[in-house]
Amino acid sequence: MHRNPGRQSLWDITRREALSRSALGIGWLAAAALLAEDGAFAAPAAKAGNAEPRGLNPRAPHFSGRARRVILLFQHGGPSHVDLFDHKPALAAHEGKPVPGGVEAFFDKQDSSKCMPSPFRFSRHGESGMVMSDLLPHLGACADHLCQIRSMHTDLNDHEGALRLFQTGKGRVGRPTLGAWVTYALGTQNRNLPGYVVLADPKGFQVDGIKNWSSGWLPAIYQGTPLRSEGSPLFDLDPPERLARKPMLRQAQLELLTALNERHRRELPHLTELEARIANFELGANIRETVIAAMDTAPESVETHRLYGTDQKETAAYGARCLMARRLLERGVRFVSVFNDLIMGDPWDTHFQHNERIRTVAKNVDRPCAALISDLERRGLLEDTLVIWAGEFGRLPVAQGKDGRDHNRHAFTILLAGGGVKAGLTYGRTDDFGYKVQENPVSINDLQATILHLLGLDHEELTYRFSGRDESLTDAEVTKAQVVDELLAT
Amino acid sequence: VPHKWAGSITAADSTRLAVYSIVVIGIWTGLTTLLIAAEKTVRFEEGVQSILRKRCFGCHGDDRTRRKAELDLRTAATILKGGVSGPALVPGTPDGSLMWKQITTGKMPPQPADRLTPQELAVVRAWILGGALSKTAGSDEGIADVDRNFWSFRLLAHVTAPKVNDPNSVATPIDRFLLARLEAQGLSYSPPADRYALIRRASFDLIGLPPSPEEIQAFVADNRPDAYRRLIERLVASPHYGEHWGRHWLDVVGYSDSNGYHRADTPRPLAHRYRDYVIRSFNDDKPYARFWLEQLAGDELVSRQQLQTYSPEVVKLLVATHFLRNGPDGTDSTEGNEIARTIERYAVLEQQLRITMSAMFGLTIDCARCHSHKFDPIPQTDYYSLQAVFYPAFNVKKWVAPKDRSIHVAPREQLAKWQTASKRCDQEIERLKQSFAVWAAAHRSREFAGQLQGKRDELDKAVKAKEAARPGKPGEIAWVTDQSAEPPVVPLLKRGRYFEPGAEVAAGTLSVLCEPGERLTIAPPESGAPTTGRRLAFARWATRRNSRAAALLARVQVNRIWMWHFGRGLIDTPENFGARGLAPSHPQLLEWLATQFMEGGWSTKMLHRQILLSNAYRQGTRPTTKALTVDPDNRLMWGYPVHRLESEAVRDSLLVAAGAFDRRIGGPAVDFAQSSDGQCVVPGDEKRETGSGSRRSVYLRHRRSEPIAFLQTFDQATAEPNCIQRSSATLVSQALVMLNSRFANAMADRFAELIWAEAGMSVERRIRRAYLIAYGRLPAESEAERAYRFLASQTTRYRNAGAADGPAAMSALSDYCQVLLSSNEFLYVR
Repeated sequence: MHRNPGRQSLWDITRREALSRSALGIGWLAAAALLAEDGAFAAPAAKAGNAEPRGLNPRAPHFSGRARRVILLFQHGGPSHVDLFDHKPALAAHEGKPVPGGVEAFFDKQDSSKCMPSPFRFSRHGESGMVMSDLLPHLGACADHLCQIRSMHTDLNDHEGALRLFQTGKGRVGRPTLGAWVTYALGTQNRNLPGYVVLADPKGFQVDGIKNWSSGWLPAIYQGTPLRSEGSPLFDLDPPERLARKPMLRQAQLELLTALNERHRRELPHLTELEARIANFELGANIRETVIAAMDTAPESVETHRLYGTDQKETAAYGARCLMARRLLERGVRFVSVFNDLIMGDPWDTHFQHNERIRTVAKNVDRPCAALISDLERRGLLEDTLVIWAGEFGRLPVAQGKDGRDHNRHAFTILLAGGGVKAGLTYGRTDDFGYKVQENPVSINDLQATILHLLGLDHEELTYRFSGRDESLTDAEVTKAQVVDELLAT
Repeated sequence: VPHKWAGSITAADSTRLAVYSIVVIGIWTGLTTLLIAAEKTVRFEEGVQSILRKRCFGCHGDDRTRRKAELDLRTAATILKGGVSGPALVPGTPDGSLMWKQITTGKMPPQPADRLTPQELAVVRAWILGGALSKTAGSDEGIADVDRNFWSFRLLAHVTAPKVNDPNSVATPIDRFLLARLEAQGLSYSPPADRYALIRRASFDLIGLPPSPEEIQAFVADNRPDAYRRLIERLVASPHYGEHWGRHWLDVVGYSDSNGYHRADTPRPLAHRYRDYVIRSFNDDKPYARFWLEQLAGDELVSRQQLQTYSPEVVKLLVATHFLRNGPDGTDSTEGNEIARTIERYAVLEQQLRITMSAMFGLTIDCARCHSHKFDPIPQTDYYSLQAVFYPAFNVKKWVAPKDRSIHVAPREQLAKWQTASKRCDQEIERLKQSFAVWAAAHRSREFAGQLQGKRDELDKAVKAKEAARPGKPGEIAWVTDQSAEPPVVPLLKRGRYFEPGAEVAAGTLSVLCEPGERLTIAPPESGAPTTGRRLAFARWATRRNSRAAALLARVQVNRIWMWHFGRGLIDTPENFGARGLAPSHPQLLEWLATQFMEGGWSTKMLHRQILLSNAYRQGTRPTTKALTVDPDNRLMWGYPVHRLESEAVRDSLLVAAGAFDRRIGGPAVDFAQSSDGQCVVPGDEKRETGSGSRRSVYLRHRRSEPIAFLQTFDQATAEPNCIQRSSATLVSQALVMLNSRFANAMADRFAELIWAEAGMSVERRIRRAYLIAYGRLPAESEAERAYRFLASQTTRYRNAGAADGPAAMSALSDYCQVLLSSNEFLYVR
C-alpha cells in the first residue's frame, strides 16, 4: 500500500492524539466487545456461528484493498441522470412523442408520458473528457477524479424499497446497512469516535429515517451514530444544570460510582461486561471534548470554508456537513454517511417543477461534494478514501404531468471517486432515451460487491450467521452479485 | 493440516488407511446390496446431507473462508459442480466418483476420527448408485423419516428425571436434570441466595418491577415455611404480571402502534386493544394452545349470531386476530403503480407468515419462498400452502388496507343510542340546509347576490360545527378476517417472483410436522362464521395434543420462557429450531418441560412455579475456581445467571424509585413528544413535581420510525418484523443517559426528595432507605460509611460553591441518588 508521507504523519498524530484524549483509550460504544477480543468475555449473547466475537478493534481486510474508509454522499429522491450526466439528444428529436415501447412509471395517473428533453447544456470535462451537465460545474472540474457509472439499475421503484436495496442489499426491512457491514468487517481506527457516523439535515431525517443506518441483526455497536451538525453533536453530552461548570462535583460523583461498581464487580468476577460498564462511565465523561473537537469546523481556514461553500446560503448547511465528514474521516472514522438538505422533502424527487427544482438541488450539493473530493485529494486522503455519490434510482426521460419526472428503476447514473476506483472512467451505456441500460449493466448488488472489494473485502466471505443462515450484504448466491472489475484502478 | 483432494499422506497413515478401507469396503458391499434389493432410492436430503454435514462441512460447508479446494458439499448441485479437481461425483457410478474414492480410501475426511462409518458409507453409495438424486424444488416429496426424526420435529419423548448424588439439593424435577450434569463435572449449585436477593429477583422476573421496601421487609421477616411460595403466588397474581410477560409476547409478535414500512409510518390507533388482550391473556393464564387459536382464528370461532351481540367474550376473540396485523404494512400509504402495490401487499403476507412461523415454531421459512429450503425440510410448496392459509384474509387481488380493517363491535344498546344521536345530527344538518335553501329561494334577485356568499359560509360553518359534535361510532376495533367464505386461488410463485404465478396450491402446512400422508383438513367453521376455515384448521392442527406440531410449539415456547427467566434459553438459538440452530444444552430437561407444559393444559403460570421453586432458581451466584475453569459460561447453571434489566424494566424502576410510577393498567398508547433537541421523550418522564406520574413502558406508543430514546438506548426489541431474542449491549450512550439526561436527573431529584421526606432528618435512615429502594437490600456498614462521607463532602462542595445549607444537602443527596441509579447493582438482577 502506497501512502503519501504527509498523510501518514497526519494520520499518526491524529491517532496518538485520539488515544491520549481518553485516559482509557478503549471502546467508543462497546467496550464489552473489546474485552471479548482479549478472550476475557464469554458473551452469552454471541450468536451461533459467530463464535468469534468482534468489537470495534481495527481488523485486517480479507486482502489488501485500496480503500480504508468510505464516505457516502447519498442523494435521496432519485437524481435525474438525463439532466445531470447521461446526455440524450434523442429526447429533443422525440419531444412530445412517447418512448417507443412505453415506459414503466411509478405513478399510474400520468397526464403525459411524452419525451421531455433536458434543457441543460452538457459538456466535456478534464483530460478524460467526461460528460456532465452544466448543473454540476464544480463536480465537472473534478471529472478526472471521478468514475461515472451510467448503467446502474435497481429492482424497486419506490423510495423505501430502493433505499433499502441500496443500503442493505434487499428491499426488505430489518437488514444491516452497508456502513454497518463495513464497520463490522474492519472495526474503527479511533475508538473515541463512533466507527460509523451519520450526518443528516438537523431539520429531520429523509425517507426511511433511521433505517438508513440500521445495523439490522448485526450487533448494535455497528449501527450508525447520527452526530448533529448544529448544537450539541450527541445527546446527553452535557451534565445537568446542578453540576454545570462544577467539575469537582461530577468528579466526586464518578469516584463514588466507581467505588460502588467495583464492589459489585468483586462479587461477580466472572461477569466481565461489568468491567466494560465501569469503563464506559469514565469514557462517557471524557468523550465530550473528542466529539465536539471533531465536529467543530472553526479551526478550518477561510479558504477551506469558501471551498465547501459554508459562507453561502444555498450550500452552508450541506457544505458544513461535508467538511465535518472530512474531519471525521481524518480522525479514523470508518464510514460516514452524509445526507442532503431536505428541500421540499427528498430533494431529488422532482415529480413536478422538475427543471427549477433540480437546478436548486444541484446548486446545493455541487460545490460541497466537489470540495470534499478536492480537499481529500490535496490532503492525500483520496487515494484510500472511497467516495460514493448516488441516489436510489434515476428518473424517466418522459414528462410526468406538466413538468415533472417520475422514478426510473431501469437506469441511472452514480459517481465514485478515490479508494482504488478507476478515475476518469465513464462506464456503461443506456439506450437513446436513457430509459434502460444497454451496455455493461451494474446492479445494486454488483455495486455493493465492488465497494466491499475496494475495501479488501470479499462480499461472499463477509457473512454473519443470523437465524440459521450465513447472511451477507449481497447474498450473491441469490442475487448473483459480482465485482465489476472494469471499475477498479489498475 | 493442509489438505486438498490430493493431499499428502504419511506412510504410516496410508498403511492404516489401507487396512481401514478394506474392512469398510467389505461391510458396505453387504449393506448396499440390501438397500438396492429393497429398491430404495435415496435422496440427498434423506440422510446423505446430514452425514456430510457431520463429517465434511467443517471444510466443505457454510464457511467459505474455511472451504478447501473450492468444494462445497452442501447440496447435490454443488457436489456435482465440484471443486478445483472437477466434479466430485458421477451419478450412478460410485467407483468413477472422486468423492467416493476419497472417502473409501480414507483420504477424506483427513482426521481418522471423522471418517464415515460403514453404515454412512452405505447410504452415500446407495445415493450415488441411485443417480445422486435430490429433492426437486416445488415438490413436497422427499420429506423422509430422517427429516421427521430431527430432534425438534419429533413427538415429545417421555423422559424421567435422572438420579442425582445429592438429593438434598433437589426441590423440583428441574434440579435433577441440572444437577446430574453438574455433578458429572464435579460441580454443584451455589449456596442459596439470601432473601433480599430472592425477592428482588422474583419481582423483576415476574412483574418487571422492583419490590417496595415494605414488601422486602415483610418477606425477610416472614418465618412461615412457605414464605417463598407465597411470594411467588402473590407475584403471579399481580396485575403487573401480565404487563411484564405480555411485553415478552409483544416482542415475539412484533407489536407496534404504527404501520411501519413507509416514511408515513401511519398510526395503528386501535392496536392497543390487542396489547391489552395479550396482557389480560397472561394475567388469566390463558392456555397457550387456546391463545394461539384465538390469535390465528378468533374470528372463525365467532358465529354470525354472536357477531350481532358483541359480548365482551366475542370482542376479545375478534381483537385477538390483530396478531395477524403486527407486521409492517405500508399499504395505507402506497402510492405508485400496480407493481409497487403488488410488492407491498405480498410483503405484508410474507412478514406475517414469517412472524407466525418464528413465533410458533422457531423456524425461518423465508428461504422456501423462492426455492425449497436448503437446510430445513421445507419444500417451496409448503411455503405457498401456508401462504394459502392466510391469503383469504390478505388477498393480494382484493386488498384491504389497514385503515379499513376495522369493525364496530359495540353492544346493541350502545349502538342504538349512537344511531339515534347520529340521526339527530343528520336531521339538524338537514334543517340547516333547508333553511338556507328557503332563504336562497326567497332572495333570488340580484340585490341579494352580495349576501348569498355570506349566508353560504354561515351554513358551512354551522354544518361543520354539527359534524364535529357528532358522536364517534362506538366500539371500533382493528381485526382480521377472511374477505369471503369462498376460497381464493392462491398460486405458487415461481422463484418467488410476484408476476410469475405457477400452479395453484391448496392450503396446507409444514409437511415435516405431519405424519406421512397427512393433510390439513379444511372445513367451513362450525360456528358458521363467513370465512374459509383455513386459519382455524391450521390453528387446530398446530395445537392438537400429542402431535409433532404441538411438540415443537411447546419446545419453542418453553425455551423462551426459560430464556425470559434466566436471560438465556436452553437453546442458544431461540429463533431457530431447524437444522441450523444449536442443540439444546439440556435436551432432556427441555423435553420434560415441554411435556409438562402440554400435558399440564398449556399453563404458563404452572411453568413459572416449576422454575421458580427449583433450587436452580433460588441459588446465589458464587463462582468457584472450579466452576470458572470447567464451565466459565455457566451453561450448566452452577449459579443463578446474573443479567441486566431489559429497557422497559430500567425505565419503570427509575420511575418507581422516584415515586413517579403511574400504576394504571391498559388503555390507548401514551404519546411521546419530540424534545427541543429532537429526541423522542415521554413528557411525563421529565416532570419534577411530586405526585405527577408517568405510565409504564409497555403502554408507550411504539413507532417503528421513531423509537423512544431511552428505551432504544437500553436495547428495546427491534420490531423488524419481530424480535425473539433481544440484544444486551454495553454502550457509552447508556452511561451518558444515566449521567446527563433530563429524565435520569429528574428521577434522581425526585428519588432524593422522596427519601428526604420519608426518612426524615437522619442521614443514616436516608441511606438505608435509598439502598432498599435502589438495590433491594440494606447497606453494609462500610457502604453506609462511604455514603455518609460522600454526602458530607458533597454538601460542603455545594456550600463552597455558594449554595445555602438546605439546598446544598439536597443537591448532594440528588447526586448520591443519581449514582445509585446509574450503578451496575441497580441495573443488574442477581
